[in-house]
Amino acid sequence: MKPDWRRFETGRQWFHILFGGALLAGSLALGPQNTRHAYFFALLLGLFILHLKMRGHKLPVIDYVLARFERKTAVFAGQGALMYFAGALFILSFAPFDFALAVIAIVAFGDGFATLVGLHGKWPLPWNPRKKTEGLLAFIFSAVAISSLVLPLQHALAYSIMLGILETIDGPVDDNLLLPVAATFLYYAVPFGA
Amino acid sequence: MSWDQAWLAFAVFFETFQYLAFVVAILAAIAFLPRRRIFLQSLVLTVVAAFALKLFFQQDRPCVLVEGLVACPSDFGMPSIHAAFAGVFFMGSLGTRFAAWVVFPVALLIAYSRIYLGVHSSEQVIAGFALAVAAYLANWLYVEKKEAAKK
Repeated sequence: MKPDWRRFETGRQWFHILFGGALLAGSLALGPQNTRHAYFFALLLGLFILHLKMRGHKLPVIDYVLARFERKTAVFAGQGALMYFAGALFILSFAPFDFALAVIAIVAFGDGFATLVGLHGKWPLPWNPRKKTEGLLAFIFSAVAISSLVLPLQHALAYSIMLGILETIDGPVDDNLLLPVAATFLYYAVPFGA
Repeated sequence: MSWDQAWLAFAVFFETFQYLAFVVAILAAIAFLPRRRIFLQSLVLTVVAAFALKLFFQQDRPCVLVEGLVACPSDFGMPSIHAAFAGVFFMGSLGTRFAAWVVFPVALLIAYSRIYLGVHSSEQVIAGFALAVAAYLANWLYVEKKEAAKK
């Protein structure tokens, strides 16, 4: 992996973690109903910004953030952030608040640390050589650490392992959306639901 | 006419002619939207998922407890299918010339009218919108990446 790309991805993931942490703190302060409303309006704002970008408008601050943190492979402007808000609003709508917060934290911290550690990893995963075993372990450890603040430890561990493995499978849908939607199904499908 | 009367007239008009409005909107979408395949796939996925979720959650509408401004529908309330439809149209029109002036305001008015009429709570409306956005974004990425892989 080229050093420039590694530096870009490191900055991007720290932004991802800090942004997720700030949203989590805000959600805890606002409570369930206000959090849903806040995420709804944030998603609307994000979609309106995407609309303006698709219409070719220049938005200096947004353009700077996109240039600094958006992957070149993004299908549309602000893909990562929009997927994050869409996934978070989905799980906040369909799962209990504590569980939703735990998954939002897992996406922010688990996904972020998985990439930060995986960038320097040496052991490829047997089912996906592009991703590293160290990254998966970093996902699970950080996800358990943060989600156990709101979930019982054994539930935090089980969901972190399942979502960590899911994160290592390459698919067309962004992890920021895939993980919350999958977690919502897991919550109702797996009998030890929190 | 007061603001309340105007708002009620819009909400009741839409409630009365909702099926006609839906058919007209679909035809207009097929004629004018830029990502028709993604729009139609998302619409089907959203509708199927919304009906399945209604049956799964079996959550009552607010008008079951407190009488609304129109007759209370007999099915469950979570999520709002009106809001889900409005959400798919909202997403489908992103980037088009008429989106900001026509589709966005109408979609939001339709979603809010469900709360105003008392047939949905704000959570049920937000859930319908969230479902539509998630379905559309997932479809968008899936189709774009599949087409990029073909090239």
